[in-house]
Amino acid sequence: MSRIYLWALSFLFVAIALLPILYLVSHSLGIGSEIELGAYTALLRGRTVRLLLHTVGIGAAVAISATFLGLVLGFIISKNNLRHGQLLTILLLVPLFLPPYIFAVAWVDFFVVLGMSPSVIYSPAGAIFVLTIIYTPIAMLLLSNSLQNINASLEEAAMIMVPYREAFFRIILPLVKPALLSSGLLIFILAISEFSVPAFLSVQVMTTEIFTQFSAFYDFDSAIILSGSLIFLCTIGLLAESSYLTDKPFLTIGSRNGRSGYTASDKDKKKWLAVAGGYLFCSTLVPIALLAVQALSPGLQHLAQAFDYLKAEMWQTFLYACWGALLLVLFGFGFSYLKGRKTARAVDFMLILSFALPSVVTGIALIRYYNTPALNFIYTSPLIIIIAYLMRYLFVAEKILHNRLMQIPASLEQAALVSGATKWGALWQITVPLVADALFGAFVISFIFCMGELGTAIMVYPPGTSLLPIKIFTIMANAPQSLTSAMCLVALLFTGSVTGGLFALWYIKRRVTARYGRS
Amino acid sequence: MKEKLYKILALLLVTLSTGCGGGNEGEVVVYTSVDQVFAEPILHDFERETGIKVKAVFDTEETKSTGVLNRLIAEANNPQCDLFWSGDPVRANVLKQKGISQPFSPEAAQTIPGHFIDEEKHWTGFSSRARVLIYNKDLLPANQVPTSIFDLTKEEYRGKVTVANPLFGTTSFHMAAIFAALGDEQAKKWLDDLKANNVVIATSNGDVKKRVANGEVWLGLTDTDDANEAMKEGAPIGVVFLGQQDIGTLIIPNTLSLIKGSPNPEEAQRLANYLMSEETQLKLAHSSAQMPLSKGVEVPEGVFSLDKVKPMRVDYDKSSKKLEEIQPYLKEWVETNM
Repeated sequence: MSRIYLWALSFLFVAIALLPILYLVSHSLGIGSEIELGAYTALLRGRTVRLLLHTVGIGAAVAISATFLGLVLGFIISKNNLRHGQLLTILLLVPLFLPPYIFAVAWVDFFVVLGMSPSVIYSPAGAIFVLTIIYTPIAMLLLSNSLQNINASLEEAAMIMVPYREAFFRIILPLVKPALLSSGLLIFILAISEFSVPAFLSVQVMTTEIFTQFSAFYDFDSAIILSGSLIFLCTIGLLAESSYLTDKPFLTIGSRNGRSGYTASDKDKKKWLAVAGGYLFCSTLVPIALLAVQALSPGLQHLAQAFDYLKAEMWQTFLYACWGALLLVLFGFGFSYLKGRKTARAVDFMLILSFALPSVVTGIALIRYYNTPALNFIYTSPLIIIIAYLMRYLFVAEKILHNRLMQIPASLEQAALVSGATKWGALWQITVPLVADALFGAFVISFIFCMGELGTAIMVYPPGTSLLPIKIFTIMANAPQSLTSAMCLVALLFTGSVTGGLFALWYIKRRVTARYGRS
Repeated sequence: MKEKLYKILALLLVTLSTGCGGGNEGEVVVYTSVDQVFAEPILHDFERETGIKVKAVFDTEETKSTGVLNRLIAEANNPQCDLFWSGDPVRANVLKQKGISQPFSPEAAQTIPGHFIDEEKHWTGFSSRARVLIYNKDLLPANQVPTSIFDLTKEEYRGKVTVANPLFGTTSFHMAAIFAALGDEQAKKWLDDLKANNVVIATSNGDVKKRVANGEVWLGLTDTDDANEAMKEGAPIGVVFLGQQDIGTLIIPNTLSLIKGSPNPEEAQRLANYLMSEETQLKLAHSSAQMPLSKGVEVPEGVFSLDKVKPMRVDYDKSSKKLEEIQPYLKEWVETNM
């Protein structure tokens, strides 16, 4: 029965999100166009190969450094039971709340304000630095949850035999290896698909080349062919992941175990708090403070003006992001539940294909596919934005939920069925409550991604509508620096307060449930 | 639970289906590469004065004034846009060459000099900007500021000059005009000398403005609206119209193109007339220091006037074609500079 639902869901996803890509690919293969297969030899040219290697190098460096930092921060917040640990977690997530480009701008300003030459940041090393800061929170989130899910008894048993440091390297680290690899892969894909940071820092990578083909030469076919190389890289990553990581719990959000076998001393807590605080200060607070100083330097007038400029977009962006996140969770849960406890490679491939496509190519695919008289009702309505969200982020939502579901024993649902529950009843009464934390986590992450989505949304947003990141970028070109900074600050405060509000509601709900039970 | 789910989905469809558009009476869809901060107030004024709803799509600094153009090309088979308001004639010429725009003659075009109207009437120009050199007054005394593009290759300015990526925006048009004016050989030599002098490539004209204002470099080529904005912000910026003794200054008019098969052509014509009107040109002069093209429009104090500038002799159509020809060279030039 579930196979029918899986087919139906896959069909729906193929129809709304994958067909646009397939249409574009078929076009680039010469079906219905004048392009010849010979155009694909462009991928073998020396410069293209060098560019690809450069892209891979930057992506790998970002993946390794962000995952390492994510592991350190994940350990600090998951194993040390710090006071105000949740506040620290939210603060460490701040880089996710702003479009990556803003961080690149802020770091250049940082060097200028100090009277130093910013040339060091206009380099591949600078791009790696900025992208690492932006993606470390993702690694931290994934790894802290993976560390939390380690059975406390394993830690305790190891600590009887050896000091915790040795237990960490010999027991804990191997247990979170799948999460480390998964985090690295996810960040690698995000880093090689990112355009705005390398473009701003004048670093040549594959996405900037694709953009040049699109925007300087109006050569859509070459750009699509070049995009194929990125998809190829991501596919290799996926295959490596699925062969190595099958059936292992990774990319997890949840708190099945929650109890840690490790108890940090007060001295250790202070030490780790200083490390996390130092990282937070250097990576996030400095650029944010710079934005605040620039925004407030002429007084409060630019902050008020920025709020006035953005207030209409705030509501619209919030609404679309909510619907986007809701659909991402529904689709993600549907796929992960119906896949069962196996890795369905066809589903994974579909999702990674749409996730790995550069945003500008996704935009062109959506325009080419949906801009027909028959589909105008989608193309000219906000539905097109929601579809863009689905294409860009369903991979992440599905991964989070699938790997949480893998931790729920199948016997629980089977017991409910034996006791007379219907299949739907068992799903809603048994499984959904058990993965509620992961559903919430997937919603929040999807919401944050949707709030900041720019690359594809800018290509397809219907005339007369506007979104927060789009408005900021369309205004910042000729706005004074203080107004631009004020707009970034308003966007940051808005996204941060909505996300903080969601966490607060979740926290209250958990406290109430813990105190008074489910009813 | 299932009922709740159905309710949520129904609400979703209702919420999302609001906002459908295209081809509705009393509305016009405009795509513009002109900065939103300048274009939006004028479009709002048009809405207020005529009752015609304007649905706009704006471009961003990130897409370097080519985002909406790419969208127009991709939408060619089923146009959603009525009027394309471009910040320069190159993009309008791309639309013309790809068969996406159609000839039209707004009444208000009668006051525009013929030089700024496409021969086949695919686009009409109005308020214009100019390419200028900006310099940081704290770092460079006025008497040491170059007066010609050829001065930028001098040793004394090594590593102190910035230009935006010449593959995009008005910088690409400026390069094409220089190639057309000097000939390929001399223009390539100038660019190679510039490269040998360690020119800094910025991501956009806004980035040029910022780098000069904060003292990263001394000099930068940009547009008058960016220069004006920097001065309004209080940055120590001086402006020079280059080439007054030789090839002249490039003048870049705004242009309007009517999209072929546009859903609301009548409203588009009304908006075109409104944008070309003397009132709008005056508003643009006040807001972004754009120079009115219609004779008789008063030039506000502090705004550069076309009468006082020696313009570069440019055939906008030929320059657009030249741009297409030199783009592979420009791409190679950029790649070896980064």
